Amino acid sequence: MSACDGLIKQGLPKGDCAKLPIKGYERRAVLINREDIDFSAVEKSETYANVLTGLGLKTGKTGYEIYQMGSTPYTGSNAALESNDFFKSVTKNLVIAVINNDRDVAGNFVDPLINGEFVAIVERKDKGTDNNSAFEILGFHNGLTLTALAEDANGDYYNGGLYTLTETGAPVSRLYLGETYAAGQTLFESFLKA
Amino acid sequence: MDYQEAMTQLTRLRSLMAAGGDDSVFSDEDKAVIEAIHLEETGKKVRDCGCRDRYTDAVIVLYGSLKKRKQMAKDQRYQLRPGIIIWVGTEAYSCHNITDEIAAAYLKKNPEARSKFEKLPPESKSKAMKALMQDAENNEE
Repeated sequence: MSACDGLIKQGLPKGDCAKLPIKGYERRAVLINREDIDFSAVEKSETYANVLTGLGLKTGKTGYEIYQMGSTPYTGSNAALESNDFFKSVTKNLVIAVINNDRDVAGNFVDPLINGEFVAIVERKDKGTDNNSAFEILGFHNGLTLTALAEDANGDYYNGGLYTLTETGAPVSRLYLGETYAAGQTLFESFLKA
Repeated sequence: MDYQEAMTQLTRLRSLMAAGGDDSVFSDEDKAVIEAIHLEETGKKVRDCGCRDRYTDAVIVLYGSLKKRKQMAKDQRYQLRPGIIIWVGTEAYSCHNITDEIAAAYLKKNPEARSKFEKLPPESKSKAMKALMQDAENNEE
């Protein structure tokens, strides 16, 4: 693995010109309380080092759907290099906008965000070759925690707010869910109640 | 509510939707029935929104999932964990579409996969345990 030996294993060819790059994320994502993940039920791909084929939850636990409006959902989400003395890693941010003032959302979603630790599954609009790189896991290695909270009753997010969840020290740039699009989608939906 | 009763109700509700339309085709009693089946099947209320098709959507989803599963969620003897899928040929099964028949057949072939399930009938565990004990005995010989 590159994090271990620092050796690239392939070049960056021109690729399929019929498949043009697309920015951004799809509107739906899943947020999971990190402590609800059963790490003994994590299944790693035998073929791809950066793919999980299973991310089992503890008995009775579930994920929660996040739905974002607008043409650029999760806008502001990004990743950056994190340089340490002995090992470089990646910081990943997921920005979630809440646009309503609602006591249930405030009590059941925003307040737990403040001190909680989470894992998110997002779907990229650019799904990669054969759509096999669509679903990405954030927070698997070190958890996503809230690093910024911005509320402005007259701002773009109306009477809600903008919440930034951050994972620091991630050892890989991308961690995918499912070896194929169908597998990723089935896994994504399985986190949500029917 | 048992499976037959739920399917009878959902079939009746679907017939009300046959000519198209939104939640206005349902009476208050119909909506109460949909709420009851939805709560029993998913553990949640029908989604709360100002939209005009939340009950029709619920009927479509409930009918589809019950018809495929052929039993109520509470009657399922096998349940996969969320976040886990199993493959049977080219078909991927999750907690939403696994059936008892498929789960039992899969576990018979892959007894080591029982940790993928959060709900198993007791006899399935004992069979798996018997298989492990048999393996251990064979290894000792």
